[in-house]
Amino acid sequence: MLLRVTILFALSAILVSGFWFHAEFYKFGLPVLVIAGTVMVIVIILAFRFAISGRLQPIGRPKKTLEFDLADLDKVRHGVKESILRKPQDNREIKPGTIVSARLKGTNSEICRLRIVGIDRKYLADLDRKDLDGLGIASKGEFSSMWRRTGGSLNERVFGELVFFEPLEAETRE
Amino acid sequence: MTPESLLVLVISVLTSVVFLAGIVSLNSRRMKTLFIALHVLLLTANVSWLISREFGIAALDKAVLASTILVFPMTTVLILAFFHGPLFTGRVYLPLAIFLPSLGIIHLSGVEGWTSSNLYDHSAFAYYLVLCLAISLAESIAHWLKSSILHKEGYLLMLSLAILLATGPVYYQELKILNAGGLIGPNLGFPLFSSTVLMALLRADFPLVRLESKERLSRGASRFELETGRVHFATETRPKYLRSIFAEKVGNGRPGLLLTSQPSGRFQRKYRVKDAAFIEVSFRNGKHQINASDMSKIYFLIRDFVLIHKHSVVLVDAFSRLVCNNDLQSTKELISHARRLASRTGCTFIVPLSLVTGTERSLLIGTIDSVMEFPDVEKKVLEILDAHIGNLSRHLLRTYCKSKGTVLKDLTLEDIPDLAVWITSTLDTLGVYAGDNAILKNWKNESYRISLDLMSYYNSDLEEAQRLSTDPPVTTESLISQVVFGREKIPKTSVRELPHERTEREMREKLLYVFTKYFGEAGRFVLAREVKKLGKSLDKVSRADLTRLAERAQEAMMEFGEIVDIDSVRTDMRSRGCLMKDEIVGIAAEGV
Repeated sequence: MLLRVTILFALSAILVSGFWFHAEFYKFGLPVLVIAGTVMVIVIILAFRFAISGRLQPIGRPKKTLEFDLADLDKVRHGVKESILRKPQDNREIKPGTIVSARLKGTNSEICRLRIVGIDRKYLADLDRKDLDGLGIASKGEFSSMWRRTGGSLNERVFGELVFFEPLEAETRE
Repeated sequence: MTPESLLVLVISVLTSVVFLAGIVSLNSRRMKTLFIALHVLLLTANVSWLISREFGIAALDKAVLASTILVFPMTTVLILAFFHGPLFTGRVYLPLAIFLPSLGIIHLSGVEGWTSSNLYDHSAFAYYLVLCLAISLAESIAHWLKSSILHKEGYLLMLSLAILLATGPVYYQELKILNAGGLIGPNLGFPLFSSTVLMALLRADFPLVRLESKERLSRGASRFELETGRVHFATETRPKYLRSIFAEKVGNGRPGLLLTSQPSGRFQRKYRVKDAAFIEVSFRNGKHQINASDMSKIYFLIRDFVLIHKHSVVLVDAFSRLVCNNDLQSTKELISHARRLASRTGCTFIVPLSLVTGTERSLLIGTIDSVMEFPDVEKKVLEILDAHIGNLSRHLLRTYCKSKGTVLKDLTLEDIPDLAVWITSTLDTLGVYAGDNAILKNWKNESYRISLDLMSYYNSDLEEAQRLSTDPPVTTESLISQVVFGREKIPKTSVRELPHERTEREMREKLLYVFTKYFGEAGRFVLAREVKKLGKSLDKVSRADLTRLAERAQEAMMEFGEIVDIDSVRTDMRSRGCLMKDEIVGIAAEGV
């Protein structure tokens, strides 16, 4: 925040100094000065924004969401549940580093924001104790019944995508 | 000290800080050298100006002038080396071509008496500066817009060039417009410029992976012949066969790089590979770890490795992790870079397509590449065992895995020799427990044949291994085993022979046919007896033995004739013996 304010202050100072040092441009008259000056100021502001963030549009609220069951809310918030298992996706909507909104299944209420750490693929038969712990599942049996509930097959050739994440903030968002 | 000098001093200190940060954090030797060279010029320009201003040493203005001129070609060389490392390998004339005009301009500046304060007024330098910046900007913008791997690096370098341009010639012209004397000579934007350059370099920087130099000549024939200078794709559930190929290539003296998602120690123990570089593809960066989403680092790691180690072999074991942590475009770009590097350096890339969806597969490799297909090792082993011992096979295999502290799905090609020995000893022991010599003999025969079939699978070459998944042949050994065990149905066995083995098998089948033709059903037993008398087993009979075997077959026929005390039969048996001998000799002659 401090860095951003400092940069903003420096930019304002440069712009004001620009008006002072380029006083000779006043001779062109007000209309030209307003149009050209406004365009110049906008270009400089956009250039600074682009130089700092690498994009012209602000990042804003996360557009991607991950949905969780009611039982998983606390686990996600406190970092006990570190991953979810889903069917392999061909699209890359969620990538490492993406900030996603964790939501309660079927609702729009945001639990917290999560940062995607990484994505891995594994055969369901290869899921080990560590993976199950990360998923917040106690045993293989529990996992099998959960996976079947989602309509997934437990064939040994079936593989899933493990999405690892970490909570960005602990407090609940209303 | 004047305020201007103080400002330049602060700028120089800041530049030095970036310089030191770069030295400490950069790993790539090439990039570090270029970064140091660039900073020597940056610091010389500002510090010389400061000293000449403070101590009135006019001669140092020449140093300011020369170093300011050289900053621009140096930046161009750094950017070109960053994006096109292989371009400079063995081509010294390229950096020379960039630097030579600058030496000419420095000479011209001495002749015409230029000073650092009016440097940008001279058209010769202006043209050269535009040329250098145009090349660098074109490269940076092209990578920023087109590349999905070096997109951010291109952006950062483009930004750094914009800073250099703004704080150099643009700043000078602006001062001229404003009629302000001020700070002409030193460059106030150097810390910002060098820090953006450093950020770009650090994004793609990974410790150089260099194997110890040693004798790396091929030490033996390879059973896995792979065309060099190509990217080979393969499908198998788990990349076991590919790991065996990699281990064999490295064992034969080729430098190897393995990008794996598993700890390297386990791999090294299993495949007995020591002389290869192992990099773990994980979710963080470390000394021997690389972040799966850092595609630029991965690209630079591979590029530097194959440029140092020509004719190396690279196994991208963790390809699925790269696929799911990056967009498909950047993975595709990595593959196309790998193709170019492979053809340039003669190295071989092996890429498993396990855990990759069909859509991704078609998007990533298209239709131009052939894909090798390997069956699962554990399934093939089960098939072989099924053919011999039926339903007992799975149980036996699980027992083996348990005794080795592993599970069935982790069975690899490298386990097969040990498994063959284990199965032989286990079945032999089971035979002893039966307490019957005939059963014991049958168990021994069976265990021997199992181990033969397993070793035949283990020794199968690449082409054979791929064909195993379709149309499995039946070997002589399996045929005989069915006769011994009295099974009617010929089970499928997946063992394939090498070409010379195939001719040997055909020869043995013909031999069996000749013996059965002359001795009837007893033919195979007579054959077994005569082969044993030669001191060999049936599967070891070679063409060289056939002449002796033909004589023995003739003698055997005559012996049978002597048993029958009828002259006409005896004469008939003698003539049949001669015919049989001729036929066997004929088989021997076929192979010559």
